[in-house]
Amino acid sequence: MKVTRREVLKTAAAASAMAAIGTPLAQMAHAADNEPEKWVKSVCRFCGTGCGVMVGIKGGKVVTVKGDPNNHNAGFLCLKGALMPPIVYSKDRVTKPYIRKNGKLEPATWDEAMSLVTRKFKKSLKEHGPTSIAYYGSGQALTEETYLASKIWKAGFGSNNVEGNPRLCMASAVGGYVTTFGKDEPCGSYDDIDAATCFFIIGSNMSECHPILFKRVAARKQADPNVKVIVVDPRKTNTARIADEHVSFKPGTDLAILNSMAYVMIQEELDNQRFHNKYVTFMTNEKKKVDFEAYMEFLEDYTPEKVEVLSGVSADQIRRIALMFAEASATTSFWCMGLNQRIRGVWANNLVSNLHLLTGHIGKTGATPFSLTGQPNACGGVRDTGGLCHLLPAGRLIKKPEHRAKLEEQWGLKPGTIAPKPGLHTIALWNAFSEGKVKAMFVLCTNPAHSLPNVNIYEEGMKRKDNFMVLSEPFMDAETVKYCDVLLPSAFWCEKRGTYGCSERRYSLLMQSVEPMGECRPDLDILLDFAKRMDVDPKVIPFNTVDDVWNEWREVSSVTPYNFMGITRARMEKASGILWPCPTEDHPGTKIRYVRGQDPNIPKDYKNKYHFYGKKDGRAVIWFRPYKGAAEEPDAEYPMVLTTGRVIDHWHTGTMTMKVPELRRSFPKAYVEVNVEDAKAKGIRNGDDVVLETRRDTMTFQARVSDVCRPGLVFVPWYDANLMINKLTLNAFDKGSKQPEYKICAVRIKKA
Amino acid sequence: MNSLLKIAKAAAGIGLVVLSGTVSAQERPVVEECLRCHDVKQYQYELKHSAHAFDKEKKEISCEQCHIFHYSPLTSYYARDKYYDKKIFEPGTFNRRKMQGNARHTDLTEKCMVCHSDLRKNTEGGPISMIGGLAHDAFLGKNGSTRKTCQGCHINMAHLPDFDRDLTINAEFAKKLAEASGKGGQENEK
Amino acid sequence: MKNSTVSAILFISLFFCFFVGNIFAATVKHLKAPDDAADCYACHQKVTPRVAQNWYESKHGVALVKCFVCHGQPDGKGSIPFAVVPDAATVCRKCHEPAMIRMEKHLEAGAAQCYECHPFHQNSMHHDAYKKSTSKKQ
Repeated sequence: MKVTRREVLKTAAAASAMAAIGTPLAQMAHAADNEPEKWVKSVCRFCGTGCGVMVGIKGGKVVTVKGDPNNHNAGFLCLKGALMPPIVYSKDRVTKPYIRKNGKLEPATWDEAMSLVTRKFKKSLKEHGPTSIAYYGSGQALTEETYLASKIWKAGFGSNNVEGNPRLCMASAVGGYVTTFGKDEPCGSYDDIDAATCFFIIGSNMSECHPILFKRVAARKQADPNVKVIVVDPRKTNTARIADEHVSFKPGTDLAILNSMAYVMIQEELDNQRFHNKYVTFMTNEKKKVDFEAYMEFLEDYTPEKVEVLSGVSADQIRRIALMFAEASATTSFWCMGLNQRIRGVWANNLVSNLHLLTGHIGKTGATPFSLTGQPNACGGVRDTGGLCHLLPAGRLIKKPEHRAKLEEQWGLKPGTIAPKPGLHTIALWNAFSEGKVKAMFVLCTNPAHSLPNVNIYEEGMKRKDNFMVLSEPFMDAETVKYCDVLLPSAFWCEKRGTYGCSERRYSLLMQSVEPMGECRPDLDILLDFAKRMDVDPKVIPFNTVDDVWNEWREVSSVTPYNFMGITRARMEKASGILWPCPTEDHPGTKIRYVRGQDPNIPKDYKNKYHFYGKKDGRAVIWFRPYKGAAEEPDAEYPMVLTTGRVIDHWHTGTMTMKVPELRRSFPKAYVEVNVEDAKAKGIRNGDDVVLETRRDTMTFQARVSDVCRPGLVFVPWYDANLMINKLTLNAFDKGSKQPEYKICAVRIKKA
Repeated sequence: MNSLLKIAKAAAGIGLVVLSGTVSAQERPVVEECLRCHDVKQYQYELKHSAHAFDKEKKEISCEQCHIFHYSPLTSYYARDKYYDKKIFEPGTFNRRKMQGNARHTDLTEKCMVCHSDLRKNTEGGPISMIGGLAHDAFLGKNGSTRKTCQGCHINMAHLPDFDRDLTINAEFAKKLAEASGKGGQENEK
Repeated sequence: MKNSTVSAILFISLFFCFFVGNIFAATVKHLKAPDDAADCYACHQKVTPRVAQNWYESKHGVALVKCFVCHGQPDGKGSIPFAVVPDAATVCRKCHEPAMIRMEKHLEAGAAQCYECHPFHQNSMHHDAYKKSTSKKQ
């Protein structure tokens, strides 16, 4: 008998493996139980990527989701998107209205709640005028909701105090696009990813904040290893994993790096003379038109050697990335909050567009400067429909009399109804609310008590007894619920019908999948009821359904380059998203703007290929934006830099993602990311408690020691309601866009 | 239950012992004795650069402290006369991946426990990580359970084949080996 | 005695030992970990290094499709059922339905499970960031 030891062992292994199989039978039965009866088309509730989802319904309940194969995401979902259903049935859902009595929220009827809201708003309006009331909305509200709220305030009350959280996330991108091209919103589309040969990713952790777009970039890189990826970020994030060049710089010096890249491009004769001679205006920071020579002179301050000293990036690397960007056949840039949430956010945006205008990497498939949005409907709901204090629908401005007059005519208002002075921007608005100057505030679909910078001072303001805040919110555990005077239960995501518009100008319809829970009502119904109770002229608010609002918005946009006329409800029900401008029902939507033959706003027989029609002379602008540091640079007292951001598992203030067991478990609480060197110097080990101190507050976080942050930088994610990093952040803001500088403030750390 | 498992394993073990006819060897250093039959110079080299090169008394750790020791005077005698030449134990024919599989199915727990008696502490008496503590609780059946033996988790403790050098957990070991081979210390790297 | 017969007897007896042993020992049970212990990857990088590394280097790893998206949560309280071998109809379908429909047409009815041809953790990308490491070559 010959049995070797090996045979015994092999047999033993096989036997044990056999014995182990057979566990998941019960679970498979469970899966079959949840086989949906039907699938309803919708859009993901999370980031600005705007992936199409199909919601699986069984017995009137959401049981699962899957990617929409016909939307841009081609069926793929990220981990957050794939795990949405538990959020809908969270035990923390607000299912009836509440009124605060003696400091406690007490259940009330809809009529009681709305009567109180109406009484308070009417009183403010009567005693203190239209500037004493305000609407604070959200890039997560539906397009129709924001359009309606904006119209109720601007046309109904004559108040321009219409703001929203997009001020905190996208205002600098709006400022950047408008100053450079004359019109807001990106000129390319996600399809450019599949054709680009170089990706320039700056101030964005795409991999965790826009996972499906990152997946598309990674797939592009995989398909062709010659495709180059440049990631400019002081943190070595997961995005940097696919990078050919990861540029780590001293936070705040990116403006200098961008100028230095322009310098190298010109020195190496890689600028596209033919393009910028014909289509570009060179303009100094003081808005003086100058020539190309003046630009070269301006850039003399930004030679790679000079910038190396400033930024800590080697002159060699600056040259390498400049060449990579300029020499590629098609370069697409992506940026997000790293550039936007800065006191020079608009300038940083201009500087990226400068590189594209200088090299002509624009208006061709695969070449475009593309700003990413953070919220599912910041572009669609707020930027396009004018849901901010200085905007009117379709890119018009309140300060321009001709824009006001045209809209008054479209809306059928008496001339002069719309107040000529822009309202208060977000920080000014919350300052005014904290000071008791704004008396009544309608907060909808957002969580300012968690998301405002330097949030302590605003929480104090929200606690005041002489001001009034009504909040429409689906979740009881949202931080702002602690401070509101009236809480309205709003229908959540799949419980209502309406439109989301994502980063690439794509508008998709979210169809209603299930009935609202309890007494919840869609925000649109709440606003319509509010308008009626506030005695707004029914001719101004002639809507019954969400589709009525959409159709008016189409009409209003049709006389502008935004043109939504062809995006009818019937088409939206069939298609998984259409990109504006789309003037007629047979128009397929626009992938590339400002290019003859692509953009329907340019006549087919226009003399030039490009036409930047946002500017009177049809030329885009290369701005001379100098390097300026952060509002609060590190110093001897506070020697390090604090930056904030997201992790892939959580979204915004975590009121949704914390309801998903897997996501909550993955990142149960906020932490501080410390570089290995800094940790060593301060004796901090992984898992130790670390005290973070800024000029505003002090907090303790658990340390994660790694090489993600560069030395001198610490990172804290902002999702955690129990550890709100916004108590530490700074509320200094960009003078142009009024967007606060969340990304940089001075901090000191020590082991607890 | 567990005892049944142990009986099965013990039975297999006894079989092996009988097949190879174990007698303890005292006269020569063990490593040298092993090398007579097993051409494992490469393994010896890797061991020297591993975390298990020395025990806490700074004494060199030798083969039998981890591996199941078997000794037969007869084979030892023939090995001395180069009866077992490389035709039988050619290093090139070793399939290290398969050998790792075999090693994982040998319960070395008792051997490991000689030094690592307290699974809450490292050999210096310091605390182990939270993750480590949890995993050891599962191993002991205090919190969850596992069929894994020590080496089910702790792979590449003393030897590091090429194909495991990319593993993140082996970064330090792989770096040491790479540095050693850079200094010309590598003997028969393959 | 023939070699194969010996093997068969050995297999049956050992299978019995393990099987019975496992039933009594309630097979493998995932431990209960406190919330702030770590995420799946941080632990499994240590206790199942090869599987964890393979995931990290795979497309799913680069795109951060984390363990729990497919496997659920060990305590069974997650939003999808906990499974060592995920059920394709519940999990894969969420993202890969177009491909699954194609493959269902392409292959005969009752064909193999997805992972028999597409090992989830081993689907590497090119480029240094996700090169196929030597640990996967067999």
